[in-house]
Amino acid sequence: MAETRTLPPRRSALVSALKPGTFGTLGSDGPGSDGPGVTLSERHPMSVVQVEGRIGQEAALGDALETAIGIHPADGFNRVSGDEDGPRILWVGPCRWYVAEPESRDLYGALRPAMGKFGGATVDLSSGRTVFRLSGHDARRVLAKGCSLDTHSSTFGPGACGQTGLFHVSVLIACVDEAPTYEIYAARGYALSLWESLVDASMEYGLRVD
Amino acid sequence: MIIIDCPYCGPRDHAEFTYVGDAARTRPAEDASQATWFDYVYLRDNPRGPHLEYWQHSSGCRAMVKVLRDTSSHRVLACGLPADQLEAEQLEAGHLEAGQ
Ligand SMILES: [Zn+2]
Repeated sequence: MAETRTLPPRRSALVSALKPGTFGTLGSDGPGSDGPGVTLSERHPMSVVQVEGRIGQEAALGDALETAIGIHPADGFNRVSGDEDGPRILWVGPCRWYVAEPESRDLYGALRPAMGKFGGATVDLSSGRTVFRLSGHDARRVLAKGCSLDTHSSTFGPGACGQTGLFHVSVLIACVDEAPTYEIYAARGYALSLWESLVDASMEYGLRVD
Repeated sequence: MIIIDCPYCGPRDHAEFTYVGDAARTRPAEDASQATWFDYVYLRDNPRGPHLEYWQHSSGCRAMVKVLRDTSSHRVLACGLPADQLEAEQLEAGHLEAGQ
């Protein structure tokens, strides 16, 4: 029997820092001369739920996810299924996924009954994760300053995700489109530090904050 | 710089991994002697050359990875899941001498 929970209002971890506007190097002959090379924003509020089963239960758990929210995990490791604006399923480990979507319902409540029979863990991370959206033709250069993940489009194009350290903060990075656009999931407690690192790293390319 | 080939994530910088320990130890039977257990818990060979180790992909997928690493050169000779028999494969490839 599914319980319905009333969701509390969510407060962004970036309220003190996120100021929309255009910053950094723009208009000269430098890297920012053709407009901001990087656009940075927060995806907020987001529902993020981790689901996990035992190794060997991947197919059955995938079917249960599809029944519960309408999409199946992508085949293989470090892959994403679903749209940016709907529910998405991101691989984070063997038989372990994040389910994420812009908050519109009790996602944990929708998943918990379906996942219960697998004996694994279903954990609501919505209050514990901050999701960044980093986009633009210089977005890869910004990532390269702070992480060792190979984000070249030949190995990390749309549909790929990976966990690594970004400016020494543990993150999950997903490539959304060929702009390129990246979604970055970080622990809420590190969000402000990571935001400041991303802003600093973006300044030389011209930065638009939405 | 050590690059470890995670069976799930592919080649990644060793900064994403945490060293866990010697992967050549075999857990004794529950009723083995105290001396056997002492050996298992505390004593390590610390070889110079190929060494079988567990590393955890702690900043990545969190999986345990079995790594055959040369302790004198830091060269990673093979990577796999904990149940994989890396030593047998490497013996065949001539990277290891029997008895090591
Ligand atoms: Zn991994």
